[in-house]
Amino acid sequence: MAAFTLLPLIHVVIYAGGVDWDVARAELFRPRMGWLLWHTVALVAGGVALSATLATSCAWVVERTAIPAPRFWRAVLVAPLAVPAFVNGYAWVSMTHAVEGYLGAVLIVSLSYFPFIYLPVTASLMQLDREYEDTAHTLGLGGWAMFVRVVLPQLRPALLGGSLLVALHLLAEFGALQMLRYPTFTTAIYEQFGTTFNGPSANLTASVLVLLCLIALLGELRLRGRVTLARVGGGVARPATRIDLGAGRVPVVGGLSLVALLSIGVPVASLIHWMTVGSSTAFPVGNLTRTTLITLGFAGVGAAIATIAAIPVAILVVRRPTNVSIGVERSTFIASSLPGIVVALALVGLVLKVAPAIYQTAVVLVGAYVMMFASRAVVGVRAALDHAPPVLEDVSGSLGLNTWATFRRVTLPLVAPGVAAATALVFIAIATELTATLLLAPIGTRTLATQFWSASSSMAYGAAAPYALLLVLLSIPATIMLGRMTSTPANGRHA
Amino acid sequence: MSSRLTTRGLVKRFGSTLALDGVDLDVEDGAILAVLGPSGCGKTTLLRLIAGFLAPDEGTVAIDGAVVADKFRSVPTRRRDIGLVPQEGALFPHLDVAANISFGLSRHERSGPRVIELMDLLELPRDLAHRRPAELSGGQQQRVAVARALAPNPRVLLLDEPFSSLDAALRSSTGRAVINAIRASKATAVLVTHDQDEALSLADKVGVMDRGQVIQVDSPNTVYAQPASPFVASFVGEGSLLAAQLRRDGDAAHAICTFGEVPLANEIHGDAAVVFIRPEQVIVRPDLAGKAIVSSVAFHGHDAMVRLVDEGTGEILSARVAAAVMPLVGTRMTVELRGSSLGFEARS
Repeated sequence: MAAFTLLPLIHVVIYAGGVDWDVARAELFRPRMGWLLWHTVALVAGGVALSATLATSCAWVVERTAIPAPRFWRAVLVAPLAVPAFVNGYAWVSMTHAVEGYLGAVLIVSLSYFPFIYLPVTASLMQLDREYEDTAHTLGLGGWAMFVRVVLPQLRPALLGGSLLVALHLLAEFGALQMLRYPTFTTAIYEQFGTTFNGPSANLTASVLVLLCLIALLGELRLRGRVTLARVGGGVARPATRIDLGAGRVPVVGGLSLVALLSIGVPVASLIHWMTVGSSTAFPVGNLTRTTLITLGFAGVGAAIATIAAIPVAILVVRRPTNVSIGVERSTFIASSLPGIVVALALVGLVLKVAPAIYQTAVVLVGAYVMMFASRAVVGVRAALDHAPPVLEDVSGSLGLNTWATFRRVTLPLVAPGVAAATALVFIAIATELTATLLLAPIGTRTLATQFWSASSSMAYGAAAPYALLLVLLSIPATIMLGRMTSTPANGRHA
Repeated sequence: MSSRLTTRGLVKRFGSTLALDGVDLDVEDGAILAVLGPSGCGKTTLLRLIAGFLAPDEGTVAIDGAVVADKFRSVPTRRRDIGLVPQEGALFPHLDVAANISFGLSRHERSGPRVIELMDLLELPRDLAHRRPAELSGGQQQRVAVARALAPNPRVLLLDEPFSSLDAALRSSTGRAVINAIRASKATAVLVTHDQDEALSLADKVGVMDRGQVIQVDSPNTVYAQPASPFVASFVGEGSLLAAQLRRDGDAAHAICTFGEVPLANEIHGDAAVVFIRPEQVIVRPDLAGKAIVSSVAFHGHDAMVRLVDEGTGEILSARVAAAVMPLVGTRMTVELRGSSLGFEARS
């Protein structure tokens, strides 16, 4: 499993190691490369900064001040995850071309990805012992000083973890940025692949992109340092005494409404617009049904394989933690932090070299899905196993049940909901995947994402709308699941 | 009466740690044995060997005379016909009370009257039958765990610190109800605990363990009154162990220690000894010329425990005093020892 999920990384390393140095130098030290690097880094920096600011201020306002209907705002601020970033890009750009370029790109990707920071920060705020804040008040710290000196340091792990997730997503983002005409390494690799296929340009650019991902991973590890996360015991969470905003209430609620309007209102309105008035809107029912079934088929097979592969890994990590089993688990995380375009490119190269017969078959595409999303299955199955402590299996054995009966009557009923949730998350991630699917799908095989892509990139915005709507509908269950996991304070961890 | 559970020379190592160092135990049919010891003494390892979750490195475990584990083979837990009550109950969270209790019964028996019988036996209100474990109090959860373990009529019931997670008031009432249920169902039980009160008040016999060995197995009364070693004396009851010289006077022997002289209750060899002085034996009186200085006072409502330090030797003695005459820390006292004390041969 470890070797399988690490194949793309191994391929990239071997490729970079074996390439002719003169060719590499010619490719890497072109002005174009520096320009792409600047664009990519600027986007990641701006996107992470804006996402973190949006997420932290919204989370603090919702959890700590006396705004009306905090539960409603909690749901609204997670909802943007239901709109895939490339659908969001389409929704904006089809309404106004003013969002093309750096500022528009930063704004739109931040609106799509800030919930990845909002969720862990909210979870931390819910778990954070109010007594620290109360103590700080008794020591004479005012609102802002208290936030900076007491709250922010404790949010650091959540902020860093969420920011890493956003950074990795931005490095991997293809659809939205292509739509907004903002070039980064990922969009450049796609175009190089289109012109030179498996040439050195695409592969070398991919190596640089992988390097950026590893730098982000290491940077997060480094910054996180030795922060120890005290686990809050099983006690009942004390209801927070919320800060009365007084007259400040109007601008605060106004600000939240603006975030909601931009992140949810605009894409929904745009979708409705193109569904109803778009001149090219058509409901090719047969085509829609066929594409949906193919998408669900790929997602079902991929999610099943990823979950089945995750079960032994998770069991070994939880019940018999050794360096080997932990190493296998970590390897799935590294693999999943590689951009889809890198995974796809590596698979193209590998398959052509090793097994050209399966090139352009569904096997390769499903393989890519499993590599990209196995870590989500591992995380979910691990969390599920926490619901079945070994002592329950001991008791079952003492009551005369054999291993199989114990599994059927004790372990399975306890872990099944969690495993099902993990499978569903992987299922939805695959169903809305765009980049790797564009590169690896067998000729003639169209998924919802690629159909949407071909329609929207040829400006047939109305024709793209039904596919976009289906993609959003598919993402809603996963979004609800993520929101629920956060609102139960016991599970504050996100991967 | 026949012996239901027997262990002989049980040895268990974890790496270089010797967890059990030759344990011999016999539990008679229908008896309740408490295994008492400080944490890390090996009592939980012993329980897991009897249950079959671990296999011994040396020695045997036999149930009803049939060996179920030795260093070569180990009968799986499910065929040993044992019941297990783990710490904090470990009820199946996805099943209600009735389904938890009937878990080990055959499909046919599950619908029979057994669940109600057991709920009555453990004094569980019948309307709890369809509650989930999370909706029960800690004491109720423990009673359900015992009912679940007793349901299939096991030959041996094993209880691993079953009451340690309960608060003091619930602990004694739950303990009594559980012991009554075990006696009524005529089960043989081994109860592992680090709580002296629990062991002395609930069990027929108490086995005291220290560092992987069973030091003494006797009735609660004997273990308390005639401890076999200084460790048992100080672990089972409150008191002070003091070095003493012996003065023989015909048949009687007296122990002379820092705090005074006391007749020995038993016969031992040699001139030097360790005497065990219970706090009830110590009478203290404020005296400006006294050599014992009060170092701390713990108030318990009905009485108070006073710790005295001898000015010369630094030895410590505990005394129980009436709450009304509680001294202040730093007060000088003279000490008088009443009654007789147990002595142990000094190991030099």
